Amino acid sequence: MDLEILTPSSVAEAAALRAEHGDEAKVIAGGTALVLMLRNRLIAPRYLISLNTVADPLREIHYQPGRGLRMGALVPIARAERHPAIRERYPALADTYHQVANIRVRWAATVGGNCTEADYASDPPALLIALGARVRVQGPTAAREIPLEAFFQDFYETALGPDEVLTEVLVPEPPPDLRAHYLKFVTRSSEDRPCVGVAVAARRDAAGRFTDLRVVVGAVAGTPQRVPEAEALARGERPSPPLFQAIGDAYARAIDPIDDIRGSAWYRQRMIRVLVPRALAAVTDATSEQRGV
Amino acid sequence: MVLREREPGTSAPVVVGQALPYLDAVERVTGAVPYTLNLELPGMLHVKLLRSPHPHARIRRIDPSGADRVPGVAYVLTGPRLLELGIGTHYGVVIQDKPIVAIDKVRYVGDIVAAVAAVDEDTALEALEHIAVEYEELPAVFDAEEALRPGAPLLFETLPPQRQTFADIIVHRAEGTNLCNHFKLRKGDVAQGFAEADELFEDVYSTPAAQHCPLEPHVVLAQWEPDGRLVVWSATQTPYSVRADLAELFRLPQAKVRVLTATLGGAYGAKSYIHLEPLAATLALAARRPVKLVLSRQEEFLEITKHPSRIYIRTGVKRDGTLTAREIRCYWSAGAYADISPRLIKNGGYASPGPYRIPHIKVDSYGVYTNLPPAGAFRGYGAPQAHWAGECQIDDIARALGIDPVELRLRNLLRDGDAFATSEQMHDVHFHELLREAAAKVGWGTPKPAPRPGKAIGRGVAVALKSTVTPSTSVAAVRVEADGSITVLSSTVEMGQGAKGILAQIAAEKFGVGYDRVRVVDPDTDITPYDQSTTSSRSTFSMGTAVQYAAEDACNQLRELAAGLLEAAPGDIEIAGGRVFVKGSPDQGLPIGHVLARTRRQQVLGHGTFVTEGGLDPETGQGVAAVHWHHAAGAAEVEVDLETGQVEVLRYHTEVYVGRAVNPRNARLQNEGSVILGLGQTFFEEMRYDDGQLVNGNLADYMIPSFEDLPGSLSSRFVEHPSGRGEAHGLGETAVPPVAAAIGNAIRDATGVRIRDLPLTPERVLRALEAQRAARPPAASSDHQAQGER
Amino acid sequence: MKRELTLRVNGREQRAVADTHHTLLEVLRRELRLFSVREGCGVGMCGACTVLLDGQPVSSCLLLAHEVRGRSIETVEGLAQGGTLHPIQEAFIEHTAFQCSFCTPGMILATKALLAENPDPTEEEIADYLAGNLCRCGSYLAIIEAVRAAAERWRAVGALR
Repeated sequence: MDLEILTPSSVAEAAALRAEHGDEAKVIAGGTALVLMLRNRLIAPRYLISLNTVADPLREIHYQPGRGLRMGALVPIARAERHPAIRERYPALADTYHQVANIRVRWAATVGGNCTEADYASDPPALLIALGARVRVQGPTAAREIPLEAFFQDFYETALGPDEVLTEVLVPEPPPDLRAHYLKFVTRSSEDRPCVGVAVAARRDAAGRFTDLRVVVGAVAGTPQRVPEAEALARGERPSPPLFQAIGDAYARAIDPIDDIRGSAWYRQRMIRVLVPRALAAVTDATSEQRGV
Repeated sequence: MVLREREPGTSAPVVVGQALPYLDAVERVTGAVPYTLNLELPGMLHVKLLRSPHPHARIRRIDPSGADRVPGVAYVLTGPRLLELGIGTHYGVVIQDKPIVAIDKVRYVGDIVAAVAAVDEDTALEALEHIAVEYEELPAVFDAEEALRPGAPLLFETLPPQRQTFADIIVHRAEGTNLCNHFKLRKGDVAQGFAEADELFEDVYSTPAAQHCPLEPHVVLAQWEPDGRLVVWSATQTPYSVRADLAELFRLPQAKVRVLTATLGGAYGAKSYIHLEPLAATLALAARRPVKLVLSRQEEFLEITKHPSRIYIRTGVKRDGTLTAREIRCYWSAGAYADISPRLIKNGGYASPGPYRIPHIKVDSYGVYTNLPPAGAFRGYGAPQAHWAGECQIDDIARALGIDPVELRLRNLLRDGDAFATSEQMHDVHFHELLREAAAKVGWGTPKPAPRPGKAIGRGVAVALKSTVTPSTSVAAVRVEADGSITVLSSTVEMGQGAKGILAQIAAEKFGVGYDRVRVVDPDTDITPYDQSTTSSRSTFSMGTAVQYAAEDACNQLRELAAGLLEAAPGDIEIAGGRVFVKGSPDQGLPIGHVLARTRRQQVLGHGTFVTEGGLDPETGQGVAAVHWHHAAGAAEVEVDLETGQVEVLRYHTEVYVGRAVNPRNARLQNEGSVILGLGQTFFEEMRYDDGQLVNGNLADYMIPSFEDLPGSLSSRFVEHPSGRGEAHGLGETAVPPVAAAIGNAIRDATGVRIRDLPLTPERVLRALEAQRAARPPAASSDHQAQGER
Repeated sequence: MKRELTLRVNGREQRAVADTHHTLLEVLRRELRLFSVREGCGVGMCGACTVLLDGQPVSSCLLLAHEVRGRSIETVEGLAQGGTLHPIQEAFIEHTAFQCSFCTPGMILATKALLAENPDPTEEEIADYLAGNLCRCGSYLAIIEAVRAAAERWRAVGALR
């Protein structure tokens, strides 16, 4: 194996290297997914473009009240999970990051790599979409922002251009009335990936009526799934088991789930029907400690 | 360490019965345990294997020349080359059916087609890509029952040779079939038993293939000495068995084959009997250099598995709950090569009627070749599959008769003096106590806690018995060194169970010396005496007894030597506290070392051989199956989520009979470890195949239990013989077999659904719940179902 | 391709020559002969190859050695100092928190990182943190006891190294 590790000093340089080497090069961040593929000879790149040598902003977390959260692509998931501002302002996100894989993977894997990997059975994408997150990507000359919902395109496929590098994950400032929750459902060991993951972000008015609801179901298809018609059922309604079940039923009807080792399509369909209402109940439960997002 | 006093009047410490640390505890926490995995030999080559992509195919052509030309490749072994080496080509502990590399056919996806020995692993891996193989695919069969049907694809066109390795293994095969062994048990007359019954119950239960997943994989190093001797370092549970098979294969006297085994990083049955040693030795022979072969985790799944089983079980019972007859057919998928299947299907077969007084029993247990990875010993050795069927059915019988499931079992359980299925008279059995205690620990007979909304709570019990391999042989030597310290020579393999500490405790007790004055040597067939195997939960009992005998022999020699010095008859001399003295005057004796010095003996070598007798009639399975029986009861309390099918174990308690616990801390670890393994097997461990291709052969896709998969409460207790001088039982497997059935029964209790196939995934539970709802009007099932959330 | 690299392991600068595609696990075992670091699964699931990287646990099977140049790497070999066991190691012995011990170095390092962050973890917190370290022998209850005991020692001594 003839592998050369390239060490750009800036993101633009990394993007230029991608442009130059095309399919022969892979970008390496935390490496937890990439090294696996390399070791199993699923990929045999000629070059690795290491982001390790890129200057520091990629490792920083910024939270500005009113402007939201910016996480550098190289922030380890475990650091995001522990960050005071994220725990305070985005507790559901901190909680979701905590549920990813195990502590070792979380200290190596990065919030950016987690997005570019676009693994259908990953936990954070569903919640990030529910929170309206975007990613910032840098090309050799220009940068752009892409809503995560549009970023994920299919199993392991994203909208990232062949000469682009993901630099930041951006999460908008949560409105004061926003509540969010991620429900991870595993069917085997605690260490399994989700069979179904349900992320919910809800806003309600002073009378308790939904003003906005986002429900994103992960691990059931190539990309996280939203069903806007089903979300719309909640508008103007107060939380109630029949409403939640109607939304759950609509999600179950709309999604054509996959079959894998963690559950058949038959089972996933039923679990969407059961778990969407449970996630909705959790996010609207007055006794729960969910606050902020 | 604090040692409790022995008996009034002597100062010798008691070491048997103490919770002492492992002898090498410091190495264990500093990462310094010298696993075979760490071993390197000067100039050694690394091996990578080319494996079959087809479940069943003829090899039309194999061309390794491309691999030969890769720089750094020392040797490439293929079938045609193997035939030219002038050594044995096939091996197998009972049936010599496995070629060192495939010769004419491949029989499962993963069968070894070629092996490359090269200067490093990367080179060997690269060379694999340059071996050209042409296959002609053949029809394949993956199910044991289908494989027995006439016209099924044949794995072996002619019967491979069989050897009489172990006295207890009798093989019944038939040319032109895939039958690997058929075990028959005939006790009484089942027709009469069923005629006497008021009710008959007939069910089918199944279990899937599973993998042991020891964290240390199979590792072998082989080296040929200039004088023609073969030396093999192998992470094996059976160094002597491996030596015998290598000697036969390479046509060497056993004395010229040396097998060394270091501490194992787990085994659970996976490393019993011969595996990759022949391949490593062949490569070392052909390449004229030492080689090291380490399996990857993915390859571990292809090397050896737990037997998938399907068990048809028919039971006759009187209205008062008295069992009258059981007729059982067990189908075990042996995979492509026999390994130890011929024995396992026997032991699973005679365990399948369960620990009950049943006058009429008929068992037919079939081990059948299939185009899947080979199956072999797996912690529990057939008993988990057998009791999954029998213990679930017993519960259903009790419910159908309106008898409490614990009570029905108590009415039928074996007591001392009763005849087992093999007609052997049971002794030292304690089922009633174990079951009562286990049931009480989960609150049997008391009101259940209120389930959370949408959930249901239930309780279940199961009992199990498991043999220990009989007849069997263990030999030990105990050396008393010049300073009175003790060396124990034993071929028992330390694989995490703490065997070395146990043997040291037994030896230390005999001489009354401190535990830390004893060293136990790792197996080395040049040095340590014969042991049959470190399997079957036999070491504490079998090797423990041999060590005791050897220590007694050494003590007798010391007494003879001391007799002259102390001017007393040898019979009047005692050894305790590391001293030799005349009975009654412990203060006037000599330290052991002084006896050796003053008689100029320097060292005393004691010898101990422990042989057990037994065996079953080849046609009726009647006789003595086990010199003593491991037995256990398990009890579970579960909460079932009626919407998802997810099952949470709120409490699990296991009770085992230990006779005498040599080290209570190790005993506890064995019990808890057995239950945790059993939980994985119960809930999610399953190797899944798609047309014979394994789809989850790694630890991301095949799950094993984690810290967070434990029950809300997990407890265990071992029962010792009331005399305090009970026969020590091994505990390596005892608590495994009841786990699945106790949980299956608890789910039945909670929901009314009976699931007969493992594992009990949420999906499987939900399917059963939905089938029940569809079959019954909602009102009828409400007694079993708590109200849902909505 | 082979390249020279310097790794900071257990407080010492160590030079090695390693292929660019080789993992930290491979280099620690083959070049630096640190055999406490073990491959159990090769996919980051089991924790037998745990090392501390700048104080945090990672799977050395999922890191390229050349990617961690200059960062601080700790293995169990670095724990015992001057023949004195680390309090976590002592607690593991006292509670026999192992059977085959293949997973033990990983468990101990993960425990060290846990206690540095949370000096008094509950049983649930221990199970949550260590859940990704697998013990196939099933010594989990004893390990939880050992971690609790090590934490107590931490509070008694005031600090863990």
